[in-house]
Amino acid sequence: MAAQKVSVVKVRNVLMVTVPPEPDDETISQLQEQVLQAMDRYQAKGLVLDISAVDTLDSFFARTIAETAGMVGLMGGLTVITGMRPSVAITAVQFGLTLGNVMTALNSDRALDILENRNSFGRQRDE
Amino acid sequence: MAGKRKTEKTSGNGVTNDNRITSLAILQNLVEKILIGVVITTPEGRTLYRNRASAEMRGFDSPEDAAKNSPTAATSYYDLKDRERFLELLSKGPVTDFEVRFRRKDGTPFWAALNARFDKDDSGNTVIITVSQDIDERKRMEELVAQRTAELQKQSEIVSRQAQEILEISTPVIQLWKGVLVTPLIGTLDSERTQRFMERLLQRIVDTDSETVLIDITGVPAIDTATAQHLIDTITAVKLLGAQVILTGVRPAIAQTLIHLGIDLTGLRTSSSLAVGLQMAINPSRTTVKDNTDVTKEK
Repeated sequence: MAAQKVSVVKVRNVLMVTVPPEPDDETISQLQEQVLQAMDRYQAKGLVLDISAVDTLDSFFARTIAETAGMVGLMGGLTVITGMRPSVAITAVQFGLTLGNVMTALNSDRALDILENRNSFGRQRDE
Repeated sequence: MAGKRKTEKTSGNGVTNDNRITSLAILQNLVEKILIGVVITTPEGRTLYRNRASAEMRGFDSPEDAAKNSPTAATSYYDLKDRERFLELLSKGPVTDFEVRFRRKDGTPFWAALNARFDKDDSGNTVIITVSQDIDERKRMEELVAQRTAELQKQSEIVSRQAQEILEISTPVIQLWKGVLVTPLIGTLDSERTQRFMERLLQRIVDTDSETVLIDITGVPAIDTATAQHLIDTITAVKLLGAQVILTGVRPAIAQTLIHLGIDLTGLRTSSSLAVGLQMAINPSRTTVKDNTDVTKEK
């Protein structure tokens, strides 16, 4: 399967990316590339990565996501993963696949809530 | 030992008729006294001789009573097809332990076991000698055993089904508040239970859009390494979904085990009681330094 082009959407100051179902390694690598390009272009303060269409999580995927979050962080953005399926969570835990320190949220709404409370320089806004 | 009649004839096997008659008398006496049934019939089914035991087995007062009321096989067998089967087996050789239902004087059936063979009478006619035993009691016992076995089978099915249900009941996931789930764990958490529990809990989190899960382990008195790991795995999985866990009701024994096991407990939020945990969940900004939580907002 050729690498699928993943759409990166900018909403307010946040990048929204929906991972397609059963992404192959090339798609995942390309996703990272596209996200970084978008971060560069828009100076977004965050990335919401929706993985609700993904039902298998392998080590490459987990590693790339963690890396991407790190890279986005270096560029001033906070990454929030949303929509992880219960079965994926269980598998991840059982295989010891972690997403590092990447934040997670139940859905995109909440992810946006989290990101709303940040300013562009990556500091948490006081309430 | 004195015979009553003297004749010159001897039978083929070298026994004189004198002795033969004597022996016969003794044998006859014996057959009358023994407790198993002996019957001599023609192949057609007419009874030539029946001993006392056979008659009494069938509920008759005496062989004469039986002869009067049940002279043929037709009246003895409960199902005549059994006699056909019997004769067929007999044609192939002596029959042993042929289980069949006979009819008593009052018409009720009972189980008997037959041993039989063909023989010839003095005149050379073919007769059937049948020895029978009442096995009704034994048959009834066998049926009872079969019944009990079936019942036990059903019961063990019920028990395993109940064990299944207990598994479900003892890990309920309750929505306490908007966005707050509470799950009181009771008993031990083995691998199978944990797996099932994790799946249900995570699905509930997604279905109810709940950000906070209060896992109460007041009902878990002790915890071993495997269970502790399962618990931590569950908490990690919940966090991966984007929800948080507040562990409540940690008993002293569990607190010791968790620390001694050296499991990474950073980020594990706990509270002393479910009440405090609930307060934390509903009103996070109102948490005070008083309760022993991992995360407090320094005000």
